[in-house]
Amino acid sequence: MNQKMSRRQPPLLILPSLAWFIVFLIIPIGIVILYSVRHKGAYGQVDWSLNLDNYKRAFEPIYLMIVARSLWLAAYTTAICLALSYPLAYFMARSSEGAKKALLALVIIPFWTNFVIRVYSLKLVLGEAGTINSVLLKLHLISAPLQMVDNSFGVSIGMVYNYLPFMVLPMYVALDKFDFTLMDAAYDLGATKTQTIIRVLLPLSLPGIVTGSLFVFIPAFGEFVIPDLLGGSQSMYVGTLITETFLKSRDWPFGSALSSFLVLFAMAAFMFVLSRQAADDENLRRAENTAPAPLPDTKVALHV
Amino acid sequence: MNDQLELEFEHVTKSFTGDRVVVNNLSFSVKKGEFFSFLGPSGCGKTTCLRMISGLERPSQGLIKMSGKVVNDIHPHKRNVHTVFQKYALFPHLNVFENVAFGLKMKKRPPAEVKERVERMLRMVSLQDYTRRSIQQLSGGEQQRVALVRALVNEPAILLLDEPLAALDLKLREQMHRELSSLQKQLGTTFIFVTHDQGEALTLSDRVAIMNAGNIEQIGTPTEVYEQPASTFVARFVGTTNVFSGPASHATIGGGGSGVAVATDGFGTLFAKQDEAKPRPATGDNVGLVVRPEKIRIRVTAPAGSGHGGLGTQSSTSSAPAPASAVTPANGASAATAVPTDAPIPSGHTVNVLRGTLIERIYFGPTTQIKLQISDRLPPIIALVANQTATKMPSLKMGDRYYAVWDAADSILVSSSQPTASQST
Repeated sequence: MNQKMSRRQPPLLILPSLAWFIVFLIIPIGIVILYSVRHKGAYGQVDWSLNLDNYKRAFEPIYLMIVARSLWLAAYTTAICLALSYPLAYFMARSSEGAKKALLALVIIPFWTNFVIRVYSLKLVLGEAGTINSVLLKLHLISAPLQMVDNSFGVSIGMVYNYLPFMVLPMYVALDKFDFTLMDAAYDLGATKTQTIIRVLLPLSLPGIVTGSLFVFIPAFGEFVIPDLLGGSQSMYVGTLITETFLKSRDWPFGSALSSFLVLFAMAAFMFVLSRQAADDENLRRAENTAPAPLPDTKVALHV
Repeated sequence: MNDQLELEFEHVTKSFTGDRVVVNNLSFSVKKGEFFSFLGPSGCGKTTCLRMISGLERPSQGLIKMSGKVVNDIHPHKRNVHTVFQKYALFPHLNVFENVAFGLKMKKRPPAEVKERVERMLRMVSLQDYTRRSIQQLSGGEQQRVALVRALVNEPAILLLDEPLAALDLKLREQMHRELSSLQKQLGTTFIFVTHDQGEALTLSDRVAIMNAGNIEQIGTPTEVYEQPASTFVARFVGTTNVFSGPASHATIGGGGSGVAVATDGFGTLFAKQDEAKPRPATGDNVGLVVRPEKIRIRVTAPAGSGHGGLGTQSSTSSAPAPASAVTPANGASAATAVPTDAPIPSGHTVNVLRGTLIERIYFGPTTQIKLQISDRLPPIIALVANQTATKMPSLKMGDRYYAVWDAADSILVSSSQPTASQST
């Protein structure tokens, strides 16, 4: 009886985190939404009269272009991270216990350095007088330094470099739990390597792929530090647009409207994934219900 | 090449990195339609043999042939060999039907044929109503059957079974034994079975290969490996047994034929009949002398004219000294071998006699296993007494002294294996 009760009631221990979420997540988002339906005052302050034009303004072509560019950045960052992480996570999962720990440490160690310093150091490596250019020049492989920063190439390198661990870790967790004798079983049943990967390995590591992709795609869509430091002046993304709207144009209501869209987008992405999982579960349940359940006699009748 | 041979190993060696030899120069063949087992302790190389047959491992040296053709370089998916894996390795994201259909789909069979064959196989193991179940909803025995038909639906020439019953409880295991035997007879498929359970191997197989540390110690029918073990390792691994060892010398034994006397350490001189088909050990050779517990008769009084302590004597009367005890096969060894013996030792036969204190008595139902301690520093003698006659004799009391008597013809001479060989009971 007691156990049943405690299972139904939310335990008291979740109260601190609940309070945290309310104070630092729900209330700020509320404030942002509140600001997004106001006017910008003449001196950058907020005019409290109601105004829905900010949302309309966000659909102007110039902003849609920026959203499209950000989506594209997030999409290819996710794709490259996925392509790089999967073999790495697979290799890690198949390594010995000791090697697993060492490889995990190697993936995590970069996090010990400050984010901005990490991004800035890329500038030194990729820059006109940077390590790569000077080596290539010395070897006479190129005659003029390659332009690798202050453009979209620099941004992609920075994005992939920073987001890779967010993809590797969930993927590793998924593959570490994977029973590799299933691959032997597939080979044994006549599947080629490619068929085994497509039919067995990928479907069973899908949760890791989905989680990793969300972890990369959502923050990559709103990223502003990396484009700011490595993208030069030419490239404007959603993240940079919002910072500039707040800090340079001092248009808090419009910035809030853009931010609301970003939150909405993240939530939509999550809901999509959750609904897919729910649909899978539902399918499974339906399959279970339709299957007739008379247990056959435990003694096995062989109908010869 | 012999058409009757499904599989041949010719001097096959497999070593992994670090020069660890897992399978050492194996040569043997398996006939078409045979139920062949690899039996051995874990780490003896039996699973590696299986993986080489399926193609998941490549031999380091030697040739593997199937139906006369060398298959060393043939990929697993091109071999007509399918495996039932130790923990079934069923695909958790697919339902029962999709699991069984997997192999046929890989071979791009038409959907109608896939459906027909999968359903026929599922009917065969009474799982026809389970097609849309997920694997997680099945019991261990049901999963086992799905794994079995997932392999068999592809009509393999050879079905490999890697300890497929290890995860099942005893009752289910016995049921699966019957099911496996009848499936095998019905389909005529060559089954190659790997197990460390000697009872299972003896019950199911046409022939058994007993493996130890990468070598085959003996290949034979269940009766052969039980009744005529080739080494002390085999004798110990297959069934419960008493093993003595010592230098051999020639002897004449009663009941006709030449014999061998083994000067054991502590048990005195024990006698065995020389099997004429086998080479006679040279005098002074270290040999093993094996006697099964069910061959030992327990006596309250000393056999007439006999000495104690393993002195071979002539049994002087036609009726054995009473009370005699009948015996049945050793526990665990299943009923595959050993005929219960209630007959008195024929007159004139040389018998081995040891005297010891009863230190252990385990009731098995039809039989009782007893242990006689001959001397403090020696392992006890294990004997099996049939309970139907045990009631006729004075009940055996713990701490009392009894005679263990057996016909020299029931002693088995074996080559002496390394002492690392484990004892199995």
